[in-house]
Amino acid sequence: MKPARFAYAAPDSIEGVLDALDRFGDEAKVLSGGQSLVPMMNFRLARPEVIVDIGRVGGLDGMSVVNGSLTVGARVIHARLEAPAAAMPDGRTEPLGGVLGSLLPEVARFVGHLPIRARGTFGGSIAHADPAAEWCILARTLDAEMVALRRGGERVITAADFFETVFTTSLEPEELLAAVRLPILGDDWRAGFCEFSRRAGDFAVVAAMTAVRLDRATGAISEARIGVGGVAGVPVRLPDAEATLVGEVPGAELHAAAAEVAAGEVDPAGDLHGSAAYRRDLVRAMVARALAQGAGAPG
Amino acid sequence: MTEISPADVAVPVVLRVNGTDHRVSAEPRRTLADTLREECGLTGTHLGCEHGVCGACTVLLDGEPVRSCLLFAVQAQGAEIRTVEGLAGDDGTLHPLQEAFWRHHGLQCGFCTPGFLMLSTGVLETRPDIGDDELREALSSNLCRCTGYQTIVEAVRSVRDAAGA
Repeated sequence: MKPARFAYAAPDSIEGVLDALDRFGDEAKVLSGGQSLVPMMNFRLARPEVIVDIGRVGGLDGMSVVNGSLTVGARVIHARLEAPAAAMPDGRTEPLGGVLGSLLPEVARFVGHLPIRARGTFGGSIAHADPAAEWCILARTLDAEMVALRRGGERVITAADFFETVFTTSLEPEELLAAVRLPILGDDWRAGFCEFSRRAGDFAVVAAMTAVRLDRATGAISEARIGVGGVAGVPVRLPDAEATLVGEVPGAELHAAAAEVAAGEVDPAGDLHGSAAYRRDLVRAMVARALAQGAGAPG
Repeated sequence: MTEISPADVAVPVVLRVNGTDHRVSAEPRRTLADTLREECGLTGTHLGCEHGVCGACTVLLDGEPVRSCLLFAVQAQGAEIRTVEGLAGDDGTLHPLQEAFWRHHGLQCGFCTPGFLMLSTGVLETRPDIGDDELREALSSNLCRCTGYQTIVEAVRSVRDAAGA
């Protein structure tokens, strides 16, 4: 239960981090809050040769609203998303309002426990890529953009291309996930998040996020997003269930119909936390509840 | 060029614990919990699961409760660390939370108690008017195998209520 030996670097600049990653490649692992990586190191499931600690780097923990997106710096701790505040285009820092401003605290409270949320970071969770992690589900559902830096370059990776399989992303060894861009949802969006775990703070067995956009004139759904975690190696979108919703007016019957399609659309594997059939049932329940929550109805 | 500390060499680390600087040496892989116990001699911080689940090793880092088994000592340099040894007064006067855990039978075997005390200290200092539901949620961060938690909740609640009175 003690980690294997590793060499340690704690650069104080992004350039220093990128140099270290460039130099050590896949021998290196980035340490942010350490709330996922260090348990894996303590179990020796992860044995990096070099740890590059980004805890002393400035400039990675900002939140700002730019061009219709909320940019969340990689080192923003989970606790800050319980009451998100961001730098607005006019430079002032304000509490984040709107649909995203309500959604992020709803989701954040499911992330681990209070001490974990005091250390663990948004970017760390995304880069760790646990398929049941709340932020990964949110990123996939909203088509977030991951901003990856490397020495002398930057690229933007969409969530669909970012998550490859369990704990595996398309980040290259010499790349640092610096920030994640989440689209600001207009006030015609309704979003919900629901998760089942056996005890508070545990990893989700299944979690679902939904976001639907309502046509202002008709009240019908013009765009729908359903993302589910805990049923595959990555968080998945459910296009058939999404299609069930489009063109229809939200309501309990419609939500139940979409949830039924969702349950048929996933292909979960069973494990000691729940059989495949049980997870399928949970998908049905979590999708229906997330939709109801988004519509303002009790789940 | 960024400085790299080699894996097998202990590096000098200064930890500020309960207001006192401890100059120790630790390999990069040494957790804060092990360093507190073995290098600083502060064995009040207990280790249960060593992977962040049980909370027995909870300490305050710049005022926030954190798992000291999920933090390397080298990361904690420059931070204000507080452990259970810092709660009671120099003359042995118990901290109000220690008194309350005693009075409300918030412990039996005592193994989890330092972690619960530091968790509650951090919670009440940063959120003195925390609601009952939030307090339960916060206390669910740590594991106790003796009390069934109710007496721990009552102990912490009594200190919150006394402070607000």
